[in-house]
Amino acid sequence: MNLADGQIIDTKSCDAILESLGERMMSTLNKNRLDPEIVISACSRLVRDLDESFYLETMAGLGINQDLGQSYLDEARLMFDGDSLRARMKVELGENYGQSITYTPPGKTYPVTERTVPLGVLLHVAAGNADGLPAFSVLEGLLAGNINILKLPAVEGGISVRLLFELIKIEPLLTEYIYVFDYSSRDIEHIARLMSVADAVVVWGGIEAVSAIRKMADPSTRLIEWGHKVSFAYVTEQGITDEALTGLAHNIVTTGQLLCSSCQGIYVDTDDMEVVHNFCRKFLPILETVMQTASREMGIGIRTLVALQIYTEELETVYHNSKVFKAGNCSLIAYPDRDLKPAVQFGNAWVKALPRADLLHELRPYKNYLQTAGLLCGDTEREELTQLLWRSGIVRVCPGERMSSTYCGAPHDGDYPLRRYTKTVCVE
Amino acid sequence: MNYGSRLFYHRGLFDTESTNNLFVSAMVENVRHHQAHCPEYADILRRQGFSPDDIKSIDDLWKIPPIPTLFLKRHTLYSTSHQHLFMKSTTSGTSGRTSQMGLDMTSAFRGVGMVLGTFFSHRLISPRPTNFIVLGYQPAKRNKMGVVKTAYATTFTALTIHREYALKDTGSEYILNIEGIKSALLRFEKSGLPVRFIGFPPYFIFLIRELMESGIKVKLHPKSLVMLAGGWKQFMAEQVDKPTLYAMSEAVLGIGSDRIREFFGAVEHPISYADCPNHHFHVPIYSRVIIRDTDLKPVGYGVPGMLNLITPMLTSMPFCSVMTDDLAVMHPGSDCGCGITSPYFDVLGRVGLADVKTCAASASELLDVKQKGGSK
Repeated sequence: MNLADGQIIDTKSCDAILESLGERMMSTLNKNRLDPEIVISACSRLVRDLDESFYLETMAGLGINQDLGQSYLDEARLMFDGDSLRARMKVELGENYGQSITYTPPGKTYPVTERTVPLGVLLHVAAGNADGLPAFSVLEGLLAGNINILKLPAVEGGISVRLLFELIKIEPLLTEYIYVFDYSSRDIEHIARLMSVADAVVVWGGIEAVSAIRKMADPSTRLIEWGHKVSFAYVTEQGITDEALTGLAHNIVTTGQLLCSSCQGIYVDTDDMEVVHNFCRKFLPILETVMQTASREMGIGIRTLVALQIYTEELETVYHNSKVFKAGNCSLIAYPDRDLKPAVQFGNAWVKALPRADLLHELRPYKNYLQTAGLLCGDTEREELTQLLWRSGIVRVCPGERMSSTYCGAPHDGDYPLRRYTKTVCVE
Repeated sequence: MNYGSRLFYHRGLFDTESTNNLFVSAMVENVRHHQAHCPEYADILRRQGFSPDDIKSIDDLWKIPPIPTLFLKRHTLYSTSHQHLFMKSTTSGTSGRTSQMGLDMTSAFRGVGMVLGTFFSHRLISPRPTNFIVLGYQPAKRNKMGVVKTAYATTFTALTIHREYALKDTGSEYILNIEGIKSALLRFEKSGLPVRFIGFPPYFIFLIRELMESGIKVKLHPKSLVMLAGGWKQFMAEQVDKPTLYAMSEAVLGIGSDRIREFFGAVEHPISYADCPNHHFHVPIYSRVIIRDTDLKPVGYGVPGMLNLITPMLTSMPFCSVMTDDLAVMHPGSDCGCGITSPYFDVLGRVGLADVKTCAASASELLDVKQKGGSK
């Protein structure tokens, strides 16, 4: 689906719009800057009047049951509420965002004026891994005051276009700040034309998507990359409590381990495999109990894939010296190595030994992939381990149950998105 | 002759009922052979708590621990020394990893029996002079893919006059030879000899579309034949339902449904399954097929599950019971209506990550870091 001038348009009309895209951008840039309050009030109206049944139904089609879907909607409401957005702007762009600051620099006799302004035009190359995420990326671009061109991913449930379409209906002033094109990622010619009018390209996705855009982009084009990341839990002896483990199990179960912030596996602070095995014996029944309340339904294709992978892991124990701990709906696989890897997912995590003395050394190679560590430890150890995890490249440390939830103004992968979508200009 | 070889030279391609006892004996013999010659396989059987003595009848075959193709892509298992292998093949490796397969003398001898049995029963062997269009790679020494060899071998099912390849070997690379195929087709039509097409269904669809677009329409000899193998499932974008394809082929080439045959096979399970006139894959005497649920327990007719293929063909590698990554469903032979009584299966698609949406970094990304050594 394509969206321009506030209308859903066909491919033919797209081509005509593409012809005049450069001029359209200039005409919009020539006007007064977009007031963030307009975006904020449109967003808060959008989430307030959300057609819940439509989104719940769409999510049900993706295997997300009503309770989980409702919790996502509630979270979206909170995130896009006016007060939240204003607080976020302040955190990310500073108290006086949008206002000029004039001061006399040390050693100079003349005053300078600085101001944070939007980059101009953002091209968002979205990934198909999270429904609605493409629209979310555009909303961030709008908050920072940019014109946003969204290239939809190949697989998109239609949630993004619907959200943006409704946003424009609520606030027609946003019409010329939102364009959505449905070109294929292989359509280099059209994508190159979209890139040519953009001040920066925002890329979501794995290494293939990012490399493809890097290859296509002119070296002078600014790339803002949100690549795939990996997250895990770090557990010490003091951190092994039923409550903390139940929290971690909830992250594993509700996210299906599909998010970059989801727990893929657990490093235990030990170098003794017996301790790792005992951990598995303790955690497995807890994980199974939470698994039985799972609000994510898996299709036969995925259930079969998981069964096949776990069975293969069982056969491979002879090669890896690993051990599979299996319950009815989930499993833990204890490996003697320390490599970071994705889990089989859907309630199947790895468990490995990693004493804190070796943590930095082992995790450092993965620095550009590390995101969240769920830290299960005693209060007296927390500070030391947090520092250690940060040094290895982890950008977020939190309790297990909060690994995939966020808060208003939270940095994303170590950055404030709105800051990346703006620049600071000055006049002397 | 041992049980295995007797099975592969047994007449009556679909007499599965009457060969059940022979099949069971051949399986026990085969599993024992691999257990004795492949220590890793013996170890797998031991850990799964299985002994060949557990197999008393055809209903016990499911107890043989199936080896997933996923496992075979990561580990190669041999039951014979490497020097005794020939005709080595690999899978096409679209997912980045390949399985290895090799035949020893015994396995190859059985393979010949099977190919003769299958092709004669399906009347696929023709003494007529025939032109071939291979919708795939021209064989080359550097190319070890099983499909290339199978396609080439298939060109010997008739008296071959000429072979035209869609992917022509220049000696160092492959080039797409669409123009060559178009002009060959026009020549072949004039020559009045039958034409046989061999290839993946998506390639055949692509060719038909090319011909339609360039306005080429031929009426090939009525004994012409289209032989398609594998891979409807990976090419969802090209998905055309079978009746539509048959109609398109009839219109463009003059070859209709009754002269289009499909084959199913896997490098890890080198049994040829040829479809019946109703386009179903019936189980031949050389193999048995079990559909399993996620607990690996067998399920009955009509229930979709994992496709487990069982054969005593190979003595070179312990591929007695192989679990593919396909989802399939079995039907009783009588549901087909073609007259063949052995049951048939429908491949529903691949169990795959295709429908998994994730933003967690992938195994290959992380493995890459490890292999490059990072900044350790």
